[in-house]
Amino acid sequence: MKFPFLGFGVGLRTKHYPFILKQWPRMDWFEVISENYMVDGGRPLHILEKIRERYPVVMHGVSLSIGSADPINREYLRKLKTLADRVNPAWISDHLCWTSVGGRNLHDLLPLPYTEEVIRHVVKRIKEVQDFLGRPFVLENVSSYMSFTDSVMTEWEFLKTIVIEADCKILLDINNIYVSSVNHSFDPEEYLGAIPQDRVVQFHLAGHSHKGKYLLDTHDHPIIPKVWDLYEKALKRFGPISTLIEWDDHIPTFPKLQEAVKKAKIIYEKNAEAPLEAHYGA
Amino acid sequence: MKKTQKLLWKLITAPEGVEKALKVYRKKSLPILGDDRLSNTERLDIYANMYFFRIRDALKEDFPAVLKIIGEDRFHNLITDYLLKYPPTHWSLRYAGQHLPLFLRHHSTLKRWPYLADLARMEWDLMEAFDAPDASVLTAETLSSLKPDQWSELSLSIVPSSTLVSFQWKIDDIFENALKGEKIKAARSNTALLFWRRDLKVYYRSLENLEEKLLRCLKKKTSLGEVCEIVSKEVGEEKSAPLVNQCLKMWVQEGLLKTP
Repeated sequence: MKFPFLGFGVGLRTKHYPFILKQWPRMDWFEVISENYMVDGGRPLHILEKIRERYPVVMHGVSLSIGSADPINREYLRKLKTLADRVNPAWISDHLCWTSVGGRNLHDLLPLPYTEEVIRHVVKRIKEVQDFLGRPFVLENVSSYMSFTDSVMTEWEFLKTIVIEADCKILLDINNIYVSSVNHSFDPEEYLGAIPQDRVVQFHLAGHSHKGKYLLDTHDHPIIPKVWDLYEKALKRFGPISTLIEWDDHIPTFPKLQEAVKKAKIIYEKNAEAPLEAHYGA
Repeated sequence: MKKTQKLLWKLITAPEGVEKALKVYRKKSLPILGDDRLSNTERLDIYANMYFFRIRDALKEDFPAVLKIIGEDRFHNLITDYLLKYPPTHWSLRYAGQHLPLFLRHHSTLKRWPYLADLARMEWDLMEAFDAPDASVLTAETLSSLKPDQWSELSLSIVPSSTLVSFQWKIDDIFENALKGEKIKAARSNTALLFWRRDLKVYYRSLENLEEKLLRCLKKKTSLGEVCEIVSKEVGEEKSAPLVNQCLKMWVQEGLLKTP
């Protein structure tokens, strides 16, 4: 499967439905939260289909729980596949984390111990997911606030080994790297430098909140200059990668989001060897 | 791994916080690293706070009338109690509040607001109609194109987004007053409400006994002949035909009937 360069997109949020459906604004692509559309019918699916007619769409999940000790939820997978068959997204992603155990859901993205045992567990499950969906899977690094006493490697070694062994791709969240680097005192550039270039197919950019002793990944603020700087470094390393601006709380107007997209494009063009247009559809 | 995840789940969902929960579960250590900046329990507490606030905020959106009536503080306490009894089991946050109407039937807030369980049930039914399966609806044109001999065999059924629910209170009035921020005039009165979605919008209205009976039949496929028989038994043969006509016309206008 090819992972085309989609350009610069934003997360599709209900607040922007009226604006998008009225203005059909210039936007390269949209990312949707898969679970919001894994429903039987009604407005969410209707809107998504309208948007899909005009824009490329990527499905981004939050509940696969790929690192859970529970068996993979087959009902969830079936619904995910049904949606994918309906929407035909450019690709499907979810997080390298666990969200549920014992049949109970925390609705949060919890980190995993970085061990060989967990690598084997996650790799096996990603292969199962890819077989079921019939398409490659894209894995995102999460922001984290805790790490485990059992861990025997860094987060980037853990991520790298998993994607190579499971033969899947990476959605590299630049803000998550930054947030975790502050929370766990590591060098974010070392993280970037360790990720294999041929595995990254998408970047996420978002804002976070400063909580005094730590950073919280809230997606409710503008992207800070240090994250923009890290994005620029990521562009230099990984080249033309589809980029998405995420905003989930205190969501600004759509034109404000477009400004953030424009900024990402400017940084991109500054660092690209060829004009932006040359990358589209590449 | 399962043991670690289960322990973390217990500590994260404990309303008293991680430090106290560790004592409750008699755990001396955590498989989590701490440092000068944040201890390991403080780090886990970040997840514990997010767990509660994320679900509470989602439920505020799902149950706006309940929230308006009892206020922020009591809603906060209600959800704390609720999550202890019903932690989320569904992968979608959309279902986090599925047991709240039932839970409210036995919660202390019911003493002051005895209609609260009914109100939560109404708000849940509105959500259910919102994303229920789509269906193509029977139109006036289809009906008018039927030949006379096709009428009695006409198969009728109600759209899948529809639900019929019996309440002990005049709950539609309470719901509307709450959302407008008006004083609640709570009236105990058996009320049957119909919820359904037409195109993309959710509707509700109250039902009289006979219409409720008919629509309950239409939840399964029923022929127009059977509908006429029920009406005839209730109001007599003479009055039945105009009444059935009137109902059919109204249901078609409201987009309540599925294409056979």
